[in-house]
Amino acid sequence: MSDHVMTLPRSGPAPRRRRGPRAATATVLYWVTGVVVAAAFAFPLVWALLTALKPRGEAAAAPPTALPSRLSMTNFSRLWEYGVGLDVYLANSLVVAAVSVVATVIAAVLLGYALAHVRFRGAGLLFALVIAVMMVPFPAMIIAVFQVLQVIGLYNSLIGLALVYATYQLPFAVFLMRNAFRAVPTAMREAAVLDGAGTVRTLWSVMLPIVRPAIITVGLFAFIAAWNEFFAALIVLTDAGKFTLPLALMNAQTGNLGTVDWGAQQAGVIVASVPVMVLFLFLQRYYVRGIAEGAVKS
Amino acid sequence: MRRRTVERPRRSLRSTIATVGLLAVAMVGQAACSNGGTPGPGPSEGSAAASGGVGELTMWVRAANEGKSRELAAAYEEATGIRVAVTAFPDDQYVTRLATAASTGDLPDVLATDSAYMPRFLEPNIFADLTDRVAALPFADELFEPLMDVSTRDGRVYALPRDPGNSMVLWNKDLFREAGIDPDAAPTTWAEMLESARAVDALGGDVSGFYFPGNCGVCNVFPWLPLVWASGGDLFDAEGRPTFDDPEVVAALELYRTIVQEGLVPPSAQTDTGSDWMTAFTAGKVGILPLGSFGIGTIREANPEMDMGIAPLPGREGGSASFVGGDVIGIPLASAHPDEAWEFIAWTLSDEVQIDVVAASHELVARTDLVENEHSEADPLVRIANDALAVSRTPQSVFYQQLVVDANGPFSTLFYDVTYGGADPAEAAAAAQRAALDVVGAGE
Amino acid sequence: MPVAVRGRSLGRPSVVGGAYALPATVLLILFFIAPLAMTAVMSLFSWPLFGERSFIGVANYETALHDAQLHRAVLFTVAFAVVTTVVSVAVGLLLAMFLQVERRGAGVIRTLVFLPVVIGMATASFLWLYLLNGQVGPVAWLWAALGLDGTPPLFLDSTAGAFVSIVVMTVWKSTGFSMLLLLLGIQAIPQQLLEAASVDGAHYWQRQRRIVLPLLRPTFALVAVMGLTQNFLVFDQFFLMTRGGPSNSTITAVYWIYNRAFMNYHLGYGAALALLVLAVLVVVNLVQLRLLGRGGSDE
Repeated sequence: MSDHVMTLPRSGPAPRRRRGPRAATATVLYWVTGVVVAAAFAFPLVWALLTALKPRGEAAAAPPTALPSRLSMTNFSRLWEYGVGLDVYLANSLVVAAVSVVATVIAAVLLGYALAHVRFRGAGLLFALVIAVMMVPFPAMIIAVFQVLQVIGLYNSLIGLALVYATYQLPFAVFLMRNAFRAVPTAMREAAVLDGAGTVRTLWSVMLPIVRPAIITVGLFAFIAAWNEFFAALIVLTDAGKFTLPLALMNAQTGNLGTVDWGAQQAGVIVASVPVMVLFLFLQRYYVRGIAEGAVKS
Repeated sequence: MRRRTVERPRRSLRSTIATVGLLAVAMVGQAACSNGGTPGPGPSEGSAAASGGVGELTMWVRAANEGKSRELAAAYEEATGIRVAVTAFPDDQYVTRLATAASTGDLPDVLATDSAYMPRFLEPNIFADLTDRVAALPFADELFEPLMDVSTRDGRVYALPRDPGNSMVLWNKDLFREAGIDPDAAPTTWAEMLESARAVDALGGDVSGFYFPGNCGVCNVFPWLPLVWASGGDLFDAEGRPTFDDPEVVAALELYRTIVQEGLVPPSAQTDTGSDWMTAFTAGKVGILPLGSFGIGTIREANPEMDMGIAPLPGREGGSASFVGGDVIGIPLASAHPDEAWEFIAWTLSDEVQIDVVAASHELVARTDLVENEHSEADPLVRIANDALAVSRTPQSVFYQQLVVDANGPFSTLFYDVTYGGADPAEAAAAAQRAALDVVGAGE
Repeated sequence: MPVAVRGRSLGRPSVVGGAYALPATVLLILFFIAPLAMTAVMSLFSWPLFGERSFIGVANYETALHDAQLHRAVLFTVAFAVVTTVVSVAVGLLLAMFLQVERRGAGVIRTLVFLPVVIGMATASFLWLYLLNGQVGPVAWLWAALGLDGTPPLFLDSTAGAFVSIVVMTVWKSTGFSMLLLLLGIQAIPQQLLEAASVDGAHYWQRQRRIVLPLLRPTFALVAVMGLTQNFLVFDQFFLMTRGGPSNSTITAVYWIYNRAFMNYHLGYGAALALLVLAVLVVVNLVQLRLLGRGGSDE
């Protein structure tokens, strides 16, 4: 199997190779369903890509054409020039996402480990609080969060934004890490303890390699969330040079009442989606195993 | 197998540390060299350059004006060497952004806002008093009056006009010709407008007589309200309190309802939130399109061969009116560089800028003494829009945002309910008036 | 059933545990606890975006009791959240069962089903707005290509149409996540169990019902909690695609909070509503976890 599609450990009785009409029907059914499913899910994004590659104005043709009359990068090049330049926005988004990933991973790995293997007072309460974070309607909190950022001097800063994102990733991240640590076989832990390892050594040398897939997962989801988020970025950043991609795209979108440039807009959709998709495809193999450790053994 | 698992982490440990280290350096670097001159920490220093000395001004605009503002900023930097850092926010969230910033005093040196919101911003003393500075300008009396009025309180001026635009009704002259109507005659009454729409619609095919976005109250109020004004009515009284049950308001709503019921608009108009306002007209498929002067340049660019007419909106039995909007531009009190900010603003209103930059792109100028310039003379459509400035008004209400702009507020709901929702116009207007009074009563 | 691994703790528990918990706790206090407390305080005030604030005690909560639009919004949101979560999890389960075997193409299909999950909800909303557009979208194209008469259907022009369209869109976007988690839940079931059952004469569907589904309970719990919570907090789709219309019939709970706080400047009221939403979600999730057998988030 190629590295860039999800591969999963085998399970269940292996399908016996059968010949004959029943097997043939089953295979046909499988392929038909498979193609239908794949097409249904891929269609919207494929259409967006085709639209983005159309020459100027063609995307607004009514009735529309399916394929571009000729392939054209004009929508993308116009997007590139937008505002202070798409490269700046991409770079900012990258910085915010990277910092958010680092902060989330550090906080979640440490807390997850403690919740799994260190009995301490307040563990239960802390876990409940972390989970509660995802139940809050974020728009309502944003003004208060904004004021906190002001007080600690991280207002209008990419780092401040990244730390906010990290906080709101904690529910999923801590959940996953806690379960992943719990899944480490007792035998290994006890072997480490017998070898004289303290808590820190045990974590670092023994546990981390095993839960690495879960860590990658946490990182991936933190990246996705930070990359796509709009509202907090709007409130926290006041300087065009610091804008992240979603904010810049929203500006480009609403900047022309009544004349939305469908081609450029779909190019924006593609630009916003492709980096994350590439990252996902690249990290897939870890990702799949990671969720297995985290979610199932709970 | 165990042994291998334990050995590998050493290498990844090193690379992890390296990565974290690099990131840390990047973080510090990012925080230190802030891109736009606004320092990371320290919110209320007035956000101009902290290095002392004015190399730079900051300016906030709506996303709709970002392109134009950057052009102006570039021209200013070339002329004076002073950099103007432009930051744009999405139109939908502009007021939210401003209000949040205002609550902490973190505002730019130059602030532009939609004139409709100016009454709201006058109250909490956000803008500096510019009265004396304005009086010193040679063209003080020629600054476009409706936008000046909206920026004035108790005789003191707090902002200046920028990018006025007024609402117009556009029509496709080729379609008119085809339908046998005089292509050069602007509709002078509602009945005439309706008749023309019917005639064009009768051409059949995918041609429609009329178009307006069905799901956008704030879009429609721009060309629709003048229909009411020209007939003697209004949505607001002289104090800015709502009068949604005004008989002319009801009548104008009925007009649009008739247009929908007779099938004079394409079905897809019903769900249009404004993004397709000009699409069908630009493609030559619509007879009459209530719009604004802002559309002239855009439609021209997309369809240079379009032969279109443009005129202010007619009253029920005659007369005409237009809704003038646009931005106003002022200096927040929090700015640390008011003098330099003023120079920039005055520069944008100077002859050269108004003519060579603003008028050259088919826009209206902010000064009545420059209305007749080489560009507007060359473009008959812009000339008509300019002339209409004389009959253009702007509504003044502190509650404009909540009553009209809010997509779920009383006006938007009323408009949709009557045109597409099948509601009885008089009853719906009465209900909307009650809702509007509730909003006003609930205060801020 | 997998058993939680709790080992001996090393070193003094409270101190060690506290140290490990420090980074997360700092983030939590700064960006969740503090703002939450501030929001709670705000909810006791009349707090306009501009202007004077005044203490009004629980008056905001009383207003909420009589806020008809709020009640409609909550009902609509509950309907949306339940339908979307159920469909999304059901489809995810079917896909997981369909794609669990390593056949040619399964990997590609799994990847394609999951890809919508990684794009943002706002991006997806703009994308679908274009897809459903009656003038320039692919539906219009299909209509023209098939030579059909009249005009293509407008999906967003009625409450029911908008509801169904946005449910479909949200399922498209989120079912991959359920599928993935359920796939791995299925994969983790020991082969011996299934083989033994097969030997004993149980056929495919019996094996699924008796063995697989019960063992998937913890995964269901995770998927249901996250899904229902996220869908209850839905906002982007209805803001960007229908603006809460037609006639305010598709306004959701969070949309209403946004409208009250940012369009109408009643920040105190918005704060009160946010706390109410939080309370509702906490209760709902507690109930959900109890019903699903507390799989996964007990400690």
